[in-house]
Amino acid sequence: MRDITELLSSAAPQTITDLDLTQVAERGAALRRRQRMARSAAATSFALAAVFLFRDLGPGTQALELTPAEPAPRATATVLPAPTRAPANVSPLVGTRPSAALAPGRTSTAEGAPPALGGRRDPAPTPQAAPPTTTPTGNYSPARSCSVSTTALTPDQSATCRFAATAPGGIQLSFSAVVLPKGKPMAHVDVVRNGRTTRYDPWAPDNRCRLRVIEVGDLVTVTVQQMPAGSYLDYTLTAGADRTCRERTAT
Amino acid sequence: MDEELAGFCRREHRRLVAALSLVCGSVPLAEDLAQETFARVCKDWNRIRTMESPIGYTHRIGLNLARSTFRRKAIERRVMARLGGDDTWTDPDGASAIAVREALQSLREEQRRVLVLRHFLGYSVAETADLLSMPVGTVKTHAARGLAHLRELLGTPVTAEGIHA
Repeated sequence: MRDITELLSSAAPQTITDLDLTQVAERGAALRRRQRMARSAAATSFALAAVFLFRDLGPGTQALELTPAEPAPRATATVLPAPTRAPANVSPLVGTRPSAALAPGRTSTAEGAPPALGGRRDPAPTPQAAPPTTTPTGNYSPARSCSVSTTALTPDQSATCRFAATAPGGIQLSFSAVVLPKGKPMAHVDVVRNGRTTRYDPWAPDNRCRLRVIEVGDLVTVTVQQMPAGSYLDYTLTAGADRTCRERTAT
Repeated sequence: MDEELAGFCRREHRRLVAALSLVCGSVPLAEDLAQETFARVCKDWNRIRTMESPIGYTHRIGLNLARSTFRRKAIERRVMARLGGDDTWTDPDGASAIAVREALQSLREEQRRVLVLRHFLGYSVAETADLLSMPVGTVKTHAARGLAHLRELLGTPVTAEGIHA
């Protein structure tokens, strides 16, 4: 008959290496630093989200810069046309972006753009979903609008949709979740009109929601990319008809 | 390092390593887990020192670390790399101690943790339930089944005399 406590004590190791208090202190300090950094990053992300969500957009035509150094997407991903958001098109982005013909570093100005109408995020989904292109050759299917989201994308993965506009329209960026953003994700709308490409950066303050930047016959490519590993940004970029930017209140 | 904290670490280290080695079945792994546990205690010492039972909280950290498969495996890989793949228990103990360790490792993890907390570290049923975040009844069940299993495996009667709920 043996007592369990005695049994366990007899089974415990008799030789144990002494605790290295220096290592413990160093590791503890490292953990404290990491905790401080995480808190700081969380505060930064909150501030960024607040800026994106509540910024009062100003009017005016926005000079838009092409970013030659933007990383090439490693892979394309599901295109989620609203409102069904069903995976439809997977096509390589390389060779299909109309802006590829522009020289790196060249700056383009949005033409014919009316004063931007500021407003908060409009949660209304796009009522008309454009069938995205079905071939990787860059064909543009006629549609009123199309929409891509980063929801299902892995880090750095990009998604694209394109269409030939059958109605005038605008662009709209909306997002719902932010986790430790480290910089601005790559996203743009390329509008080809009469052989000339205009690129809209939806992260520019005046471009988050714009009306009347697309005309009938324009060839439109919408591209989004998920943030690098460690960050996550759930956003949707839509281009085409039926954008509903809220009118900015005159002050 | 704060003198009070250093004293606390020195005083509790051996007991924590012994308990963790009974739970996870590896002394090097238990030593690494204990070091990580005390590092976390060190990080939050100002808060932990004012607790009703700093040692209880420390044991909870250690057991949570041991339970985390991911961390355990990661640490184990580091330990194995450091030791060149040799993870054998090298105590100069008799066959009896080795048999007990092997029997312990064949128990379910919950039973092992309950037995170690109850009968090696001396916590009451209520304290054990609190530390493991499980109902008192579940603790009693794990303890009874663990003891029964040990009896079976060791082929000798094992009692829990002197332990009060």
